[in-house]
Amino acid sequence: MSKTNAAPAPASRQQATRAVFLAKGALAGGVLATGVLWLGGRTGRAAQAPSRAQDERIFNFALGLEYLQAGFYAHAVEQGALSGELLEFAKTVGEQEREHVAYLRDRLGTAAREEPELDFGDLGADADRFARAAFVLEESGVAAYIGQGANLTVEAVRAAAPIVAVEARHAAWISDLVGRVPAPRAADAAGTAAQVQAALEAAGFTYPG
Amino acid sequence: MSGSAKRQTRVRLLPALAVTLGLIVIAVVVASAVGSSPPPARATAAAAPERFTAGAVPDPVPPAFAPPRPRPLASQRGVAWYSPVRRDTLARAEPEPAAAAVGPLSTRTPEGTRNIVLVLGRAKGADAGLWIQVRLAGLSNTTGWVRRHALGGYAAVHTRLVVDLERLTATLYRDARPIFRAPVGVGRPEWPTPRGRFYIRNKLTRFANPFYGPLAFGTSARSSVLTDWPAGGFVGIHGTNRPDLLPGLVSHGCIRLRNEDVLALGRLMPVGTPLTIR
Amino acid sequence: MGEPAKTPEVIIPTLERVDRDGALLEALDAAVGRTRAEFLRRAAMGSAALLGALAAPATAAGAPPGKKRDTAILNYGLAFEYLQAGFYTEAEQLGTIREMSQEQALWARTLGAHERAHVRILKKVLGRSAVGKPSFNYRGVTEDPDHFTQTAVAMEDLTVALLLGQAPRISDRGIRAALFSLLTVEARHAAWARHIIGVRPIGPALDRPKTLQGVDRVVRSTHFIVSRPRTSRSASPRFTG
Repeated sequence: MSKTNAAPAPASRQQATRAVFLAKGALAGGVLATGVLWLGGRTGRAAQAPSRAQDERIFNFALGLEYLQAGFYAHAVEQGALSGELLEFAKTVGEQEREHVAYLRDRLGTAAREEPELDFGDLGADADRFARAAFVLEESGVAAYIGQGANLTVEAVRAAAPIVAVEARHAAWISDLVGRVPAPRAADAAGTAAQVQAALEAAGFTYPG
Repeated sequence: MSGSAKRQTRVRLLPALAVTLGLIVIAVVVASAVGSSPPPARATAAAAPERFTAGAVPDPVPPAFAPPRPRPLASQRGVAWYSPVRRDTLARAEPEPAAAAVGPLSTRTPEGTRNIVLVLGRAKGADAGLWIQVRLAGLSNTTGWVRRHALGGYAAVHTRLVVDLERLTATLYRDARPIFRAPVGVGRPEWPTPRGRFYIRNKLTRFANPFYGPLAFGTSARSSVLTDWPAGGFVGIHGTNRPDLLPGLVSHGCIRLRNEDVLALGRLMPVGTPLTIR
Repeated sequence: MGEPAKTPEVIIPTLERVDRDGALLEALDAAVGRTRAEFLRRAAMGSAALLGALAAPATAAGAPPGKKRDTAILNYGLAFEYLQAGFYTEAEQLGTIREMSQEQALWARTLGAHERAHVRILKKVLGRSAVGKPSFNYRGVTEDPDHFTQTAVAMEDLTVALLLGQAPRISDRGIRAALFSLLTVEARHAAWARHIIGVRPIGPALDRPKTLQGVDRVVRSTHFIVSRPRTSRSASPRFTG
């Protein structure tokens, strides 16, 4: 399994065990470093009763994230700096994000937001930077989806849940690739839209709003 | 499995936002109709994506519950395992079908309960099948090998009972620490209580026989002298209507306790508990 | 970096296909009924322990949306978490995990700790309504590192399918939010487990939900849930005295 230099692997089994069991609450180290804590906080917009109109807003929020993911992975593959398992990650996960884009666009119909202009700067320029950025991207996606799961109508939950599970698999894979525990917590934390936005921007992404 | 019966039919309208969104959609449609696809370079001010205000997506619903911090397993010190016998089978001296038979293993005990064995170890047979080494009922320290599928699910016990024939005491340990001790009556010299490693095989309750007290445990220990005893000649641990004889060498091999002590054991000692008689 | 890419082949083991001990798998006890009618009939004839674990799907599947259904769904979730927690815990307690590589052992221990935490919280949330802990016979799967790991992959995938199917059916939004945060963890478990056995961690682009009956069918086909052995009896002793 390929690993970046992001975090040293535990030297002994005991250390590894301690690392797992001392993993603090909802904090994924890389994200913490950007100053964002996933604590399901408040942005002043209290949870509203589910509605179709709200479903649309939420799905478009998700679609924005999927555009970002699909775009970033395609961009990184193009850059040609990836190899081995990271390359496989970018290709196969990128393909799945594109399917997610298509899926959400299909559900939104005419209400779907258009694919935005994205500029990734040098985030995909080398393997290390790509891996760290992808890690934040996937973790943000998971936190975003968890955050909105209970805001959706029943129909929309049925539609969205399959994507959420797959995003979590993505997150586990990239966590492993950057040398982190793929499932560090017994429960994942929600993130508000503002937190997601902040985390992505701190990681160097220009979040497409 | 239909959807929510209480579906929200009201739609919260946010007129300002709806209009803004509408304008954005129109603007995008117009832009794409007018221009060819822009170059994949840095976004220009003219094609800058509209920001989706964070406020438009509601806060997460707080989760109704969250699991506690995950904890590693406690130490397995003082833990033993037992398993019910699922099929009548033959215990063998080695983990292979041609090995010498140690003795039959039945699914039922003479008392009519499900037979159990202690699980001691495992090995892969020559055919890659799983064999389990077990302690079974019989004379001292009877062990043998059976195929895994002859046994049921495994259960752990944290207790161990040690009966000392010199000191005439029974001591119960939990997680390797003593938690209970009582005086016992054991077998007379002509009918000695066998020494060795055994286990508690079953528990009998609600019978009307004051000789045995209120409660009796069956053990896997077979008397080596009472070979003709009906029901196999197994040593029991039970109460008594003669507590005045305790401690002492008084029985046909059984381990007798005062009634209040055997009742305490009934609360503290599960079936499957390993038993050492020394 | 620069290691050869993993094979693109995606193996999705299912519990039905896991070879538990092929050479020795004889005809098991009469196969559990596959139709709902047979399933209900069996539950009525089964012991109290079985009833506890299996009654939940009948209620959870049929009831109208509301607290009663939420409780039944959570109870089925608890029974399922008991199954998983027992699986990982037994493998660790029996020493099977010690036979694994350090990396695999970390994986197995972590997942065990997570599932035990899940059991604890669901028990706490359900309180008096909580279903009792079933008895399990893992049939040798917890005693062989490879069988264990393969079965773990299938079990984690099944958990994801269960949660995907049930999350939309929960009425209480707070509970639904909580289940989402467990769903993603189980999906991480599944991906991690696949990575451990050396296959690509992801399956299709959209995970597939299963109905309660679908999940229950698979669980019952493993024959992991058994009745407690009767080792006590109201009978007169015939010991040597």
